[in-house]
Amino acid sequence: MGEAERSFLREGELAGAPYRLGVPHQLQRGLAGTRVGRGVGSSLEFLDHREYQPGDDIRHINWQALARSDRLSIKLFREEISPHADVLFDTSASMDLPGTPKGRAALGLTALLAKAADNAGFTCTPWRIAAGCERVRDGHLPPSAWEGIDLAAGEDGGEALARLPPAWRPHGLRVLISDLLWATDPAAMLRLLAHQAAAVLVVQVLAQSELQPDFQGNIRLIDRETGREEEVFLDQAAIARYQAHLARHQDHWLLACRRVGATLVTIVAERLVADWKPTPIVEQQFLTTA
Amino acid sequence: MAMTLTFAEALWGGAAIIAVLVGVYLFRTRSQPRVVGSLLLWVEHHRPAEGGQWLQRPQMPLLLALEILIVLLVALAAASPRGIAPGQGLPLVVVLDDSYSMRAGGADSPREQAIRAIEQEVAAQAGYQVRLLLAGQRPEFLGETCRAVAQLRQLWPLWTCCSPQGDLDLAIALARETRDHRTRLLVVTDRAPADPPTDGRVQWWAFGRPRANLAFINGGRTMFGVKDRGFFEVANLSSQPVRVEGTIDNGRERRFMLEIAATETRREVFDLELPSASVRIRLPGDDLPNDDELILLPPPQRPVRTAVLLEPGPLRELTERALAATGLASLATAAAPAVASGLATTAAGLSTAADLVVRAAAEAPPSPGQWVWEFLPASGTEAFLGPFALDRANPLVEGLALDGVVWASPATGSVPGIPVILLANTPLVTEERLAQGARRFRMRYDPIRSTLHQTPNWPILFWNLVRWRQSFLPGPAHPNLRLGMEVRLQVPAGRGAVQVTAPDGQTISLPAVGEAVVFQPAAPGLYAVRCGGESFAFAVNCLARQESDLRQSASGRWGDWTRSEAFRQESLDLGWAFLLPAALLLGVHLFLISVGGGGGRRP
Repeated sequence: MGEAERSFLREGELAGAPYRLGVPHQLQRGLAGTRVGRGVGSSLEFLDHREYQPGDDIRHINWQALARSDRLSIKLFREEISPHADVLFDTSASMDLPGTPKGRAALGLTALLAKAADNAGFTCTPWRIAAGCERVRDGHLPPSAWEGIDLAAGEDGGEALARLPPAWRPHGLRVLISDLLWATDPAAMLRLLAHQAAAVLVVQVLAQSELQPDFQGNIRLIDRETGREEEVFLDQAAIARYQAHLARHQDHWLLACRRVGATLVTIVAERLVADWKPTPIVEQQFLTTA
Repeated sequence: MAMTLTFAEALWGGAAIIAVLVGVYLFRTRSQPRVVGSLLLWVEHHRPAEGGQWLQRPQMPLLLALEILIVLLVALAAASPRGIAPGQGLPLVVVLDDSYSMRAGGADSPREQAIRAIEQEVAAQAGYQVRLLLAGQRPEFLGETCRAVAQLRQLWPLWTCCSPQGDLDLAIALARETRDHRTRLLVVTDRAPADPPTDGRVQWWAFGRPRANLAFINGGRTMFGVKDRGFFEVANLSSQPVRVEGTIDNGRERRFMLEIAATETRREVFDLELPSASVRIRLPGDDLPNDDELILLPPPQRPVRTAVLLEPGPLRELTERALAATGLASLATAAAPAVASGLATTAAGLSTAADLVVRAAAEAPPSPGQWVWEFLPASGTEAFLGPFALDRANPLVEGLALDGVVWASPATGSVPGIPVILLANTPLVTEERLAQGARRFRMRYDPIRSTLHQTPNWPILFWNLVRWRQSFLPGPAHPNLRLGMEVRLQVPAGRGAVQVTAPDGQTISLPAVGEAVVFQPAAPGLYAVRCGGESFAFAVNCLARQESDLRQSASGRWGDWTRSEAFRQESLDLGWAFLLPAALLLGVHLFLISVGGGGGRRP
């Protein structure tokens, strides 16, 4: 692990001091359609009733109401939420794009969220996605003391995550930090990520040049992870096509996130490192100021 | 239709433009490396499910290809292409340098290179009507007009390259005079032209290469003095000093060593162990073998058989002494009783076999080829101190000085023949040329009252007579000749032809004109001559320093037939055939630009 990565972590840790990690006030759970509690609770707490729908847990049928009204209704409870956060961050080489602060922003944001989780009283387990999903060495310590982090993995993060998913804690908050430039199906991966999770936050970190390429002409594109090269001629039309591809890719992820109740935000690296204010995450209520 | 580019330089301009065009294209299309997080969103093609090799076809942008093609066509049009319709003949005279320097280098000699180049030219351009003109000492056309390479190949053996000089200017002048203005001239040689041809009618092809050469440039032998001796001169025609070992074969071979500085000449004199034998002197072989051997034959030993048929007396004694003093005559003198008693048999026998007969005046004509010197009767003479008039064109009077000489002769009376020495208007010596090479000289002289025989003029007169007669004896006048010299072979009277065997073994029969055969040997070496029952020999050597000097040899091509006015008149302008497609392609180019479909690869 280099000094640069450590300085990024330290920078993010300092930036995370004013924030507290939390679950948004109202967050759809997708398939069940239940409401989940805001804040942290420790037991099952009755919240409301609604009509029974096929697939609902029959253990929650209000039998007394059935006897009174001959109608099936379901008791809704404030779900118990574990005060734990699993923070996964992509350490593939594409996260360290030369000439951009993408790596700095990704590591800094990871540290920021870890610090915010600590501020909120969450336990936090950082995971790095490399050849698989690996627990960060010394992850129980403050981010600036983490070990074994370098942005040099040469594998598609989605495949790595599918091959070796982490043994994360149920009902916790799960955060994925990556550029999401993966060829794998986001739906399958997000189902894995959202399984038994209280909330899922997917943060896409991109450099400005990835959103709006500033180069044209004959370009030899070099894949940061695989080293594969491709000769292309870029003009405005080609840039527009690329941006359309990117938008479509992001739509796929957004749709997949919605299906599992996850939240997707996109962070521009240059903007984040400018003031270290994770505005999109704050807007989604995953971060609050302390 | 064969096409010729009048201004081929335009192609260079076209090539330069194309190079600039390609350079600009490469500059514009050079790729900038750019690292991206993933090619996922950049590359649109879809890989096949199965593995395999990607096939990448080489791509040439259509616009660039069109531009190159247009520039090429315009350059071709600018080169002013002209064509000659099939069936239209192209008269061509090929002037072949026949000097022996064209053989330098063996299989890679200028001659062999020139043959290959000429055959390629004739094969590449249909319609040539080729005449070969040998440029030796005198120009000479070879064979008939050739229209195919096969016909040329039948004539190449006649191009022997054995002349000591190739007079190209004379050959070109002959070709210009004898052919019409449409005829092209092609000069093939091993030297660069002094003035490159510019009139568009002559092309000059040189195939030479500067080479170092060691050559004999002079040689001879003499039989005068105490011992027979010979000499030769060797030139080092190079820029480096050489040390060379050669051989002299005069019945027994011996070696000699020479050290010659660069560009210097070394003369070597040697004694002949066998004066009657020929001498062969050899140098080590080099690129030009012609001048590496020198053959020197001994001078012919041919005394003039002389019969003196005078009555005993002062005149006979004086005559015999003068003849004997020449050393060139073998005297046969009739015995005094025979002459005095008129024994005709003895005198006639001597007279018939003699080349020269000295006698008193007689009516009997000389035998064929025989020369007769007659002393006329000296009765009634008067002594004169002159004035004498001499025909200086006659070899008899060479070296005579009659000032102070008293010549006693009849003061009047005529003498048959052409006067050679006159006393005023009275002939003293006359010459009469007769049939079949016979000659009769008449002299009016009274030895009693004259002083001519007391002066050096008397032996001089008889030396001149015998020497002149000797020069008319059968055989070559000189046994050792330089290549390029004419050989004069004196033939006996009545002989119509001689057989000459050349060094390559071929024997030819040459007719005699008058009493001599004159011809020019075509190759160096030893020649044998048979004339009746007599045999002679002579040697021909390559002794031309200028031809042996290969340092100035050069290669290259000069001149351009397409610049001639005649070529413009007889050919058709084909530039339109290139401009039309160029204009068409230009239209396509503009169309592609307007629709934007001619670019290169797009992502």
